[in-house]
Amino acid sequence: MSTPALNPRTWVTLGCSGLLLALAPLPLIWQAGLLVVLIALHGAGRTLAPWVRLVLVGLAPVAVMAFIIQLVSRGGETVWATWAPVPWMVFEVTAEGARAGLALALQILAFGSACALLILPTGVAGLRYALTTWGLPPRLIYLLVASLNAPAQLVHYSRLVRRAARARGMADGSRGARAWLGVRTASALFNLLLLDHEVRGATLAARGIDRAGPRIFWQDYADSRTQRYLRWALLPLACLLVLASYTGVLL
Amino acid sequence: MIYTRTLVLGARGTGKTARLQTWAQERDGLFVPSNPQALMTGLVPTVAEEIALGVEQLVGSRDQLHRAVQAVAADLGISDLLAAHPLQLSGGQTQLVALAAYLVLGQMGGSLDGAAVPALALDEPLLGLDDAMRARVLDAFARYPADLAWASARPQADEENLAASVENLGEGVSPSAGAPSLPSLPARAAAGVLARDLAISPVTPARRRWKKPVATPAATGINLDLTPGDCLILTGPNGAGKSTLLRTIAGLLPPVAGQLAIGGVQPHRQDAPARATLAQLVAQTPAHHFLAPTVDADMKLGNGAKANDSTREALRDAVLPAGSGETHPLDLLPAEQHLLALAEALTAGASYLLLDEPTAGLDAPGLEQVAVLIAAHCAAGGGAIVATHDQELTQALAARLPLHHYRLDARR
Repeated sequence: MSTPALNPRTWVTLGCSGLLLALAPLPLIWQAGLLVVLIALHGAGRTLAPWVRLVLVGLAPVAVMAFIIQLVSRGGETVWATWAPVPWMVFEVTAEGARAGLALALQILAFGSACALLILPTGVAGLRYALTTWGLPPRLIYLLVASLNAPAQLVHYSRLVRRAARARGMADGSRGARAWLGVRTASALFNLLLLDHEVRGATLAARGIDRAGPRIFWQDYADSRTQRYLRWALLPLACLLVLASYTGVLL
Repeated sequence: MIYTRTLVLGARGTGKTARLQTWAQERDGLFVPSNPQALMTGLVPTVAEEIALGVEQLVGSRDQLHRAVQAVAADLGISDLLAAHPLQLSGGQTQLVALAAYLVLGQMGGSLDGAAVPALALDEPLLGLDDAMRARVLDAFARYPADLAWASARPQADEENLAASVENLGEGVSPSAGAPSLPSLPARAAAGVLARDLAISPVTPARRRWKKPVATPAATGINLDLTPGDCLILTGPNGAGKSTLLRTIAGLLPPVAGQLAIGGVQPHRQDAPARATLAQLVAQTPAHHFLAPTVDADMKLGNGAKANDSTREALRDAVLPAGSGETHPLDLLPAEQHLLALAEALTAGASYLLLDEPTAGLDAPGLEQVAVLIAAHCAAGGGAIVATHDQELTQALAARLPLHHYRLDARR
């Protein structure tokens, strides 16, 4: 695994700043710009492929639904089209609805991209390094990184269970058969996951994962003065932009 | 300073694990359970970081951390695995990494601010290890600078030589004392295994055409020619690809190159029920084999549903204590889980049984039961391929049926 060019603390700061901005009522052009910047950051962190899998595939349907609902139900003065399937139900496609829908869709994608920035370029190990260096409580760090790692663990255990089902000759030839197999083996999956998790939790405690105090990590994450300045500047800058958006300065 | 080395031995159900936990508590030490898969945290991307995780606060510098991890890895012969992902190792390799994650504490002698290196109580730490790795682990045990105890169901001479004291917890209560009363197994469909210049890889090629298949062979040039009724003992060092070969023969992985056929058909091209009729794989970790909430329900899964009730019940009663039908498989003792997984494979009635370390953690009566079950399957016209480091199993099988041997060597 190649050492990432940016220090994990810088990635986490970028992700947190992105999260703050994604939640702010930024003008449309700013939101589009934010999303472009976040995607560019994923490109720089070589995490575009997982970004596509997690954010685009996962959140695009939600963003599209949000856009459509706003488009036809928000109302407004500039009506582009009207559709009344029954007399008491009138849908109006308005310019205001389109603008609000686009803003919401962009906000959803930016939120997902910023969240992904917290974990994808750094990995769980990098995130643990960043949060430990900042002095967060070790138990909280463990909870955070373990939660973020949960999907990967679920995939690992789900693969083990699927392998067992295939080895035992349980039908897995079609998409439907695989889905039914997933349902039939769900309880086995969660039993295995929970039993192993119990052992893992106890052994991690024995190995001092939740012990407070400084740690020395295996990997030496490169840092620089520029990155340190960037980390100091980014969050206040993001807060200023959020304030500006709420006070209407950015409009 | 002299440290004690204690071997806790006893048959299944004698409380070896509980004794080890108490032993560790008495010395303010650490208990290491016998579940290496669960000991992999998944929080780090490399084996080196996995081993380092527990001593991050005990070292004074990164250099010291690197030295400690590299030293314990060299002791256990896993230096070449330090950059690997901890969740992508073979069973034996995972066991070694789990041990290294604790034995690294022994490298911290001068760094504990006056605190002693903790005593270690390890539950079945030698499971699935080849002879060379076993010797390395026992050497590492001998050098560990604190008290150390470990449990073993069937200790070998080298373990007994190392132990300064032995705690024998007795013979326990064997659920089926004496020879198990086995039903006569239905005749298996006659099928041979033919492999020519087979190359195998644990990586499944990508389904999508635009993705380049990345499948570096784990082993190449494998040639097998087995006829119905044959029993093959598959040996080789940890990480040589024994489990991968079994999964390939089971049709769960396609061959990277070469030819493989069971009964004249390519197993990986068959649908699941047909594949399991040709060959039935029992994985190294029995907990990864069970998919239903009760023993009886689990025995009916897959091709087990085709067997008649009396065969299923007879096989169950031959390996488990009476009244186990409604028990959750994961509530059974580890040794019973191994036996149940094997009994389920027999129930499914495949032509070939593929067994991955079927006697890991089994006591002497358990080992005899495994040998009897395999022999009964071969007597019914089936074949078996057994990946094992267990010489006692090989001897027990040799006493019952002619054996073939195949050694898979590691690619380095």
